[in-house]
Amino acid sequence: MGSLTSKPVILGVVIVIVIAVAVVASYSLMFKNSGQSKATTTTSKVVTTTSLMVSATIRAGGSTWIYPQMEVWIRNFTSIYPSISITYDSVGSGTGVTRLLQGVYDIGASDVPMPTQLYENATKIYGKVVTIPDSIGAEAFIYNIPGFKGTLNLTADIIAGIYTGKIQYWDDPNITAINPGFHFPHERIIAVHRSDGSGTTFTLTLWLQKSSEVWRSSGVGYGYVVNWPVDQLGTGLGGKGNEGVTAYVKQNPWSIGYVELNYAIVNNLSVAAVRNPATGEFVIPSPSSTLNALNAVNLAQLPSVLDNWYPYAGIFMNIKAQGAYPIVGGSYLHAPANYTDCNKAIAVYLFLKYILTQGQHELLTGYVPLPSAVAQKLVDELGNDMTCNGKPVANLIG
Amino acid sequence: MKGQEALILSLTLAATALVFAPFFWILGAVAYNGALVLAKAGLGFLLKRPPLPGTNSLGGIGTVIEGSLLIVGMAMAIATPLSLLTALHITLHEDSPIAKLGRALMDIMVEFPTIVIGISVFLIFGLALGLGLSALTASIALAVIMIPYTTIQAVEAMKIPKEVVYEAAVALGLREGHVAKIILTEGKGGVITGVLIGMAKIFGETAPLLFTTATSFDILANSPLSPVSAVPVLIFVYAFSPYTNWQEVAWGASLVLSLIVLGIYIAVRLSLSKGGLRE
Repeated sequence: MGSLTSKPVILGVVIVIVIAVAVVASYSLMFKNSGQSKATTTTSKVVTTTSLMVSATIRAGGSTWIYPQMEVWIRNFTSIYPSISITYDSVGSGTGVTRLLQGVYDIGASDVPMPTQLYENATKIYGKVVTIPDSIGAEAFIYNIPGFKGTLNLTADIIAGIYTGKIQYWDDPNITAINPGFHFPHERIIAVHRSDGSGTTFTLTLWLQKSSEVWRSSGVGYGYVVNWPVDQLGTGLGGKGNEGVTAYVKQNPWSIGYVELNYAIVNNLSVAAVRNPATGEFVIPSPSSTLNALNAVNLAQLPSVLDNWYPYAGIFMNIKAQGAYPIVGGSYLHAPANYTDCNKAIAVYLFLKYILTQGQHELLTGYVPLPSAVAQKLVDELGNDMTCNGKPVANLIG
Repeated sequence: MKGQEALILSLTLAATALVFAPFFWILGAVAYNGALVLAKAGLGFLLKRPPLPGTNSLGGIGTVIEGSLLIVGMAMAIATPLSLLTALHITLHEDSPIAKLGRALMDIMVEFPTIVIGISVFLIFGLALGLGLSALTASIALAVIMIPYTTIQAVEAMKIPKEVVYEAAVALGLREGHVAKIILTEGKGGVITGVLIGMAKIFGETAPLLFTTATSFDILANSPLSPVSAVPVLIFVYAFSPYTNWQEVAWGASLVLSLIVLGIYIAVRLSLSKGGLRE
């Protein structure tokens, strides 16, 4: 009897495993077939047969900001190239760069170009590294001022004053002077910021460093995380992610906070106009005011794909042009430049090229495209500077 | 005296009600929001690929269900035999130092922060041994989490049969293999319970998967080394996204995951009551 009844235990376990494997197998077959048939009918005319046959797996990850957009690019790209599979992990810019250096990722995505020290490490590991911006975003200020109608005007010095604690009340003369239509009460300003390490904080603090003497003299500096002086006063609040900052601003009257523009648009948040130090104009953040800035960027100043982009992190900020929003930053992709696996080299190149060309027409609301001249310049450089066994990738595909 | 009794009774009752409240509140919120989504998306929700952000489409969670089944299945395949053999050893040689150490280790491991297990498994298996972010790495992390649950349950289940039959078996001169078989057979209900509890535990586990799986949810793992994703990770990422359709998918997925875990616990109750009847 003993030997008979011990079997059900093992049997149960075996059944569970068999079911799991069967489901997995049937799924894989189902999706493989559907994906392939779809792709060959719709797009075989666009791409050459050689590049269509490239088979590779690309692991990418990093920035949470670019993640939804990346899912769109991956879905559309892999429907053209069904034998290339791409995964993207929404783990944060810092982790994206770290895992690129660890060899876990083929492409690391960061909301700021990787810092110089990491860039040097990467070139030690990989020889050469390519960097491209993949799309552009802006930072917007949201606020909760009971009774206030219209648009709040802000300057870099006011924002720096609020976050360093130099400006503590809404009726501060600096604020009332540029917002004459509203009688501000003597209420304490609650300054909400990101608690997690984020490219959003990096872009904002870098902009303050460039634009405000108040910020520079405070010595706070810039980075994914900074020591907010306002926290020591007890009127600073850290929220996790855009949603955390938004929740705190909604919950707390007399508060102000910063979020990414696309988040503000999708969630219908009212945003403040910010003075562009280059023009003196107050500009409301929007895709079009971001484009106004981008279109006036001096293209000759842009580094090449093989350069260290970190010194250029602020290149899209404070552009001298009519209606140009000042707090604008790029999102960046990093990948090794030289390969011995030509399938991998071609696959990475095709994906980066797709993002810079077709991908710029597939952007979600609030993600702003690169000027097409910039994108074309980057594509040309990628084709020459990415190599497999010494040969430029552009020469490898027909 | 009477008054004191009534006071204690009302205090314990109130505390119990207070404990119930969040449970039903959470279950209610998940059931309500999840059911709305499932009604809108239909049964295809269990099969389709996830939707693109910012669209009106809900798509489904077919790909992540596949991923979850794959890694939970692989984790069970690793953890079940290891747990049962460990439990047998601990039971049969309960006074030996290794068995004592094993039992103590299992008690510690069961309380160990799973996020630490996730990052350790990623560092050792993902990076050092080169498995990367793969189905295998994820299932090893889940197996490490499952083993102490299953082992402790199995040890408990084998305790009584061992006390009853061990001396008789030794007196009869039966070998260790025979004794093990008898103990395993008699404790069957409890052992299955242990496996099921371990399974329920790892099905909803999120923290270790953040280090070992992809957050691309449109992928199908077809080998142990391919990237994989899982239902809890989708919920984590989609719930925090700014897009309404992704947030809805997260609610739907929460309901599906809750139903799976509840289903496993119902199976646990059933196997327990059967095991009880046998004795």
